[in-house]
Amino acid sequence: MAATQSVIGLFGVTLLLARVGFALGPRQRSARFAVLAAAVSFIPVGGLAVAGYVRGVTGDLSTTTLLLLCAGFVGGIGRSERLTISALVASSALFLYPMALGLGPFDPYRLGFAPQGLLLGVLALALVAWFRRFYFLLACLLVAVASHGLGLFESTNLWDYLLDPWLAVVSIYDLRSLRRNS
Amino acid sequence: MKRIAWLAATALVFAFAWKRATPPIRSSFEIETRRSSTGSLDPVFEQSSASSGVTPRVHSASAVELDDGRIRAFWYGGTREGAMDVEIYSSVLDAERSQWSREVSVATRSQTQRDVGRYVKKLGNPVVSRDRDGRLQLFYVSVSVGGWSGSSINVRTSDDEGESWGAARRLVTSPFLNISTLVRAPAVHYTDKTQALPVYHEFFGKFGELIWLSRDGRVRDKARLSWGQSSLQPVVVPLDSNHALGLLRKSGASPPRILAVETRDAGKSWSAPTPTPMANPDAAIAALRTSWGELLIAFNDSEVDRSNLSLAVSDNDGDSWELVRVLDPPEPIHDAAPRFAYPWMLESADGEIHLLYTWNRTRIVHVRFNRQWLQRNR
Repeated sequence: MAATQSVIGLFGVTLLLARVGFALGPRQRSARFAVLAAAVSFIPVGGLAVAGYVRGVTGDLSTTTLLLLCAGFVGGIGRSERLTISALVASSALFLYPMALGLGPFDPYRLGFAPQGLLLGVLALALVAWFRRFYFLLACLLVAVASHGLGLFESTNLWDYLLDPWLAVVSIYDLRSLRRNS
Repeated sequence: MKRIAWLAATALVFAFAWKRATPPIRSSFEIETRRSSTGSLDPVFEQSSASSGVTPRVHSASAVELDDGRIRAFWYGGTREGAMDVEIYSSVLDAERSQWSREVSVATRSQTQRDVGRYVKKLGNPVVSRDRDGRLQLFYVSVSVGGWSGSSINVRTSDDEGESWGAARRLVTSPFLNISTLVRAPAVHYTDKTQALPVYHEFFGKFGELIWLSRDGRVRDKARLSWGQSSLQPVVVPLDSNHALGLLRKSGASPPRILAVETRDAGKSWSAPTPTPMANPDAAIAALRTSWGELLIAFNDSEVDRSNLSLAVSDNDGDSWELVRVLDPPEPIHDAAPRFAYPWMLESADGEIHLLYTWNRTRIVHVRFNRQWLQRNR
């Protein structure tokens, strides 16, 4: 299982590099740049693939980030749904990270280990997403919950499947840009 | 139709996740049954060196008793703390308790980064524990980016008393890139054969936590022992099935005293830290409950430096302490004041106490003594 978890972690980095290559490449050749960037991630340097070095810095990406990276290849998602996802991620991150890093006696990260309470909260969100027809958001929540149940990542904490610090930074930035342009 | 399918998928996924969700911790502390000592009835006190100078710098010892009564110690060593050549070393004290084997490497930076599939910059504190399925587990710190505040914990398991080790796995204990969790103190055990590891953070805050591990070594819960900027390196001593005392190194603002916390629900919640009468110069401590029922701690009895290592004993579960100063410099060390650091204690099955500590960052010193010696020096 540990090997599978490691492969999934490295796959996330490969996907990230591919998405960066896709974004930076010229419009007509973006697919080629994505493949090239993905290939670079497999190059061994000093006994470790390039993806391993990047992973040392980025950590493992959440399933939400992985789905958003995939969506980026096929044109992204609607503005309203994207705004909702960014708002949810940003508010969750502001609730989670400062206190998990020691601000105050309460540790919200603990809610993700024996996650019955957190699951109920995520279920409520999923039902709202279903009601609003935000199917991408619903897919993000379902994939995170299912992956956690299957133990696909090194982490046993549901929070790590729902979001990660990089997604939080992008979401906060995204939220500001989307609001500015509205 | 599409809406119904999404709703059905939601129901299925959440039903599956609910069934798979880890149940909350309900177990209580395992309290070892009192053993009758089989060791000497005369006072015993011996001092030796567990490290033999394979590396110029050594630090942060940990030890466990093997099945055959020998003691196996671990520490990290290299050209200096934080260097890329630092490895985790292990040495074994023979059955006659007279000679330590030459240390061998049991974990390296390159092996760790290969095992965990990511870049590893340096290694740090090891902690060994015997799980209740009989395996040895070696927890050790690694850093990928930055200083010790960027630490995370890895674990290797041995089925043959530390002769060989399985691949390292990472424990994920923090949502922020899994950084800032270090290990230093012995695990505590539970009646359901699981264990919990006292750990600490050193990033935005300095505080202690208890991490519960399942029998297969996965993180299943955690609890905060303290919070804020000034407590770290907790050591936890169970007193009965639900009651335990936690002692923490004090960092930063005065008073420079060892901090104490208490739990009455087997570690799920802890009282606010309060200063004890014992001094603490921002240094690690070791603590255990002896088989004859006393609490014993090893600490630097100073508010300013680590120039002495002392023992204190409590016969009332930590309400009051009696100081037993035991260790003076074994020999002069250049012109500098000696520095005794990172003590680790265990009681072997024969009732002897084994204390290991860092001596001026150049040696891992091993001291063994028994109850009779302790009584004679009080």
